[in-house]
Amino acid sequence: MRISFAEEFKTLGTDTLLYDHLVCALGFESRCTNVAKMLASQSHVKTALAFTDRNTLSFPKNEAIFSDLGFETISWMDRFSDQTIAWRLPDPPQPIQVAVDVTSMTRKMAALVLNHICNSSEFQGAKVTIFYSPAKYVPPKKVMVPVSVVGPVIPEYAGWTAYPERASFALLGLGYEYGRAIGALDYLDVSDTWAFIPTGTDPRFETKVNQVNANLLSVLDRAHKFSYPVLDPYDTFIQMRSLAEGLLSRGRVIVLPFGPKLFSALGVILAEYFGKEVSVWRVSATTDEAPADRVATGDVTSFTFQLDAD
Amino acid sequence: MSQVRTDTPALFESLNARLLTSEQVASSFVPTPAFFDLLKLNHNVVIGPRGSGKTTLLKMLQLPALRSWNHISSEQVLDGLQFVSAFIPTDIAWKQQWDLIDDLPLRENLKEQLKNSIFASHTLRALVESIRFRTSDKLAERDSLHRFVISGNKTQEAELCKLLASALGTRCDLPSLAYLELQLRARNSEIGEYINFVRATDRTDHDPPEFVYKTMLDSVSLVIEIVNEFCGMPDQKWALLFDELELAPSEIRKNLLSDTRSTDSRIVFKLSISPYSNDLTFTNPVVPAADHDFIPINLWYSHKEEARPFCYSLFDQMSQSLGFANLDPDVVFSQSEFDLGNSPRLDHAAAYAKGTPLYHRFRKLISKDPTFARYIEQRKINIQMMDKMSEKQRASKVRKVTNIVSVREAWRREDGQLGSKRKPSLYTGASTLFAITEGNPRTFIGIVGPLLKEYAKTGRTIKATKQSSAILQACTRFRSLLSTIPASTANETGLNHLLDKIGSFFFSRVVVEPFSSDPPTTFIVDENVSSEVKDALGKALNAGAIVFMQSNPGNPLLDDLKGKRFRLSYLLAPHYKLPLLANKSRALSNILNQRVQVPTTPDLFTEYTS
Repeated sequence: MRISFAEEFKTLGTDTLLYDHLVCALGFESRCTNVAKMLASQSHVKTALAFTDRNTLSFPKNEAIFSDLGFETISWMDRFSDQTIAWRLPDPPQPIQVAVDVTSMTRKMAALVLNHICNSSEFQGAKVTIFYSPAKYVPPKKVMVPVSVVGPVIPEYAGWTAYPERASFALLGLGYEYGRAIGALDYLDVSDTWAFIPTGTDPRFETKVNQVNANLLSVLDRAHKFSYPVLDPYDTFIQMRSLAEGLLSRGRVIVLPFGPKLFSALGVILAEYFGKEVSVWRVSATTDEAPADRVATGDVTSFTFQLDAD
Repeated sequence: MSQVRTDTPALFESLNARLLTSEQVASSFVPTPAFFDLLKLNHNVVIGPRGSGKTTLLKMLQLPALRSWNHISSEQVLDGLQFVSAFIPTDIAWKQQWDLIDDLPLRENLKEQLKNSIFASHTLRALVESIRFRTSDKLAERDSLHRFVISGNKTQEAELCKLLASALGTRCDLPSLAYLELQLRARNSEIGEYINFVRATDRTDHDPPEFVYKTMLDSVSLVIEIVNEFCGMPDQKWALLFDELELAPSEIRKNLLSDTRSTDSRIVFKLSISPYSNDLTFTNPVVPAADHDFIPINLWYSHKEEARPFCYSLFDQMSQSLGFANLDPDVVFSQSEFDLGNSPRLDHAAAYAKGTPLYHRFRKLISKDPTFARYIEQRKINIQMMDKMSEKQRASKVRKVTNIVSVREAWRREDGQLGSKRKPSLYTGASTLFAITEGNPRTFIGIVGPLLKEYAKTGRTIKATKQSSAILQACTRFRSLLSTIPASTANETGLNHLLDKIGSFFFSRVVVEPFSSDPPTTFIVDENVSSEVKDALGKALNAGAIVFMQSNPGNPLLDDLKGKRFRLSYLLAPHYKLPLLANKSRALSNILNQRVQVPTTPDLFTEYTS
């Protein structure tokens, strides 16, 4: 399915009068209800994908909030089917307007949801808006957490190349997980990297990201480093798309998203836009990493694209 | 003069030969004994951890690289070249494509066939690419390679293409080698479409494309036969260079090793692979054997002395590219503290005289460490007169403990606590720097290159603090890589956890526990080690975090680690605060069962900013 973007879509978001379907994640972070509260009254059908295996921190409170807001809660155990976010009411709207809040989704969950939306006939012609609610600053852990999973975020975004001998290039979204980015790049042995450094309203994030990744950033050319405002995903996407367009003539593109989940979602859309020569990977730490609550700053950002029928 | 990159490299350029063109590899290539071995008409398996130079060696066997190579020995090599090569690379990103096939609801043998077909298409494409180069004007420019040129007019090339297309069962709408290459690429796309169809529909009744069932070796042999006949050189030999086979599917690895028993005498296989692969079994007599079916080529060094010649040679090449002739590494980096009293280039006795740094180390340790004082007393060593001892006595009582004394003294404080008041300069100096790189070209260029460039700029010896920072950075980066490699061992996850236990144990024996003149610094994988731990160790070995201490000739390609002896890479020595020694061993299960203090590490966030 083709994806198109238009400048006018940039202004959509919370101004949209009605979303036919709002999909959120129900987890232990208190910020996971932020977008839900904002959009619930504007949305017809509301689905909360619940991490019922992580019933801790703010989960019980969030569960109650989602219930009050009229969400249907579906237990999420890393399984996804065509029915998970299917339209269950009669007379599905055409085209459908969908809102997906990736704030508290895992990268895998977001990838599955977006992949389904972009490739299901049910969503032909849909306008899709991705929402993201940044978190308040918390200091990063001063420890190199071992990785348990490194590979494509889902098989659909593993990519498929007819040029395996060609170079691979990384579009790297930086976070402040210690040692993660440079370790992943060395593991993948990519030919070259372009680093995207998130900036937000709290400068401490950027300071820490630069500090933690100093080893990596010191050897990257200035032209290979971009600051991207977390609150302006549209321009970020345009930059990613432009870069990928140039790189694809020379090799494969791998999106390596650390840091804000929004970058991962943009990577997925990039892969949908360009097809098989763009892959999206994830590098995830051990599941026994202690859960931590992330409180919303109150800002909400969004990014809208249109799906066209082939 | 061959140019060797010494500037601060972009993170992923030049340190990895896979990312370079053949011409770029050739521009800085220094031939080694391993390269000359590879030039022979044998099946070879090149074995080494990441960064050990496997890809560089294989790439250098190709005509595009050899054509561009200008070295004192290049003409002799080119005159004696006996084969033409096709280079078939692999990488982790591509490996993921194969892994997708495992999840499909298909018969196992069809899955295997699909993987083989992907690999076969890739191989045939590489073969056609090498044929194309033989028709190019570039090759004809080098006289000593003229005999490999495929000459002919457009009509003849078209005829060749038709023959090849017919043999391979591809289309020939445009009779050109470029089009043939495209058709072979298209096969991979067809397989991708088939996989997507099966995944999307769960239908298993749909047949894959016919070419999926063709055998790679048969197709390759056919292509070679056609090209050789076309050139009027029926006995022309071909080398298939398969790189990074540790990333290929298990079946393909096994098939390629089996192919070393192929009866097609026109083909030699040159395979590169990491040292450990638990799916290759060499105890079975029907399996290809080292030194019988293939000649193994090791690219690692069990002992630091073995790596020294290569390191000095690479240093020479790098410094020459900066305009220096016969630059002494000791001038650039100073002598190593570990060499004091040990280096063959220094006067042993004088290094132990009263007032020297070594004397002070002994003196300080005596005052800090009663157990060391007891050692000195029991052996009746007068530290004021160490330089006056006979060489034999000094060797057995003093010199053998010098490195242990240095490390122990650096990390024990006057108050009996562990830790260093100052940043130790232990892991600096030319020979220590070289030992830390393990003779690994990628590591060597990454650490030494920028420092050498700085020397070229300033003309001044690189300060110990600067060397320490560079090594620490390299070590930390290496540990970041190790933390990214997924590995589980019982209740813990990550290679670093496992290595920390081993490193901490050795640190404890060397620095913390009562002084020993021969503390263990190597380990043996005993029968009580779990398969999970062995698997993690295998990954550590392939990454270069541990080094196999091969004591006798045997198959260096390991399918089982049991009974084998290893040490930690010297690149990790600064992190675990260990001497660069391969001392006696301890059973690994004993090590893992002991509780030891993990040495404190520098604040992770400040180690770069100092």
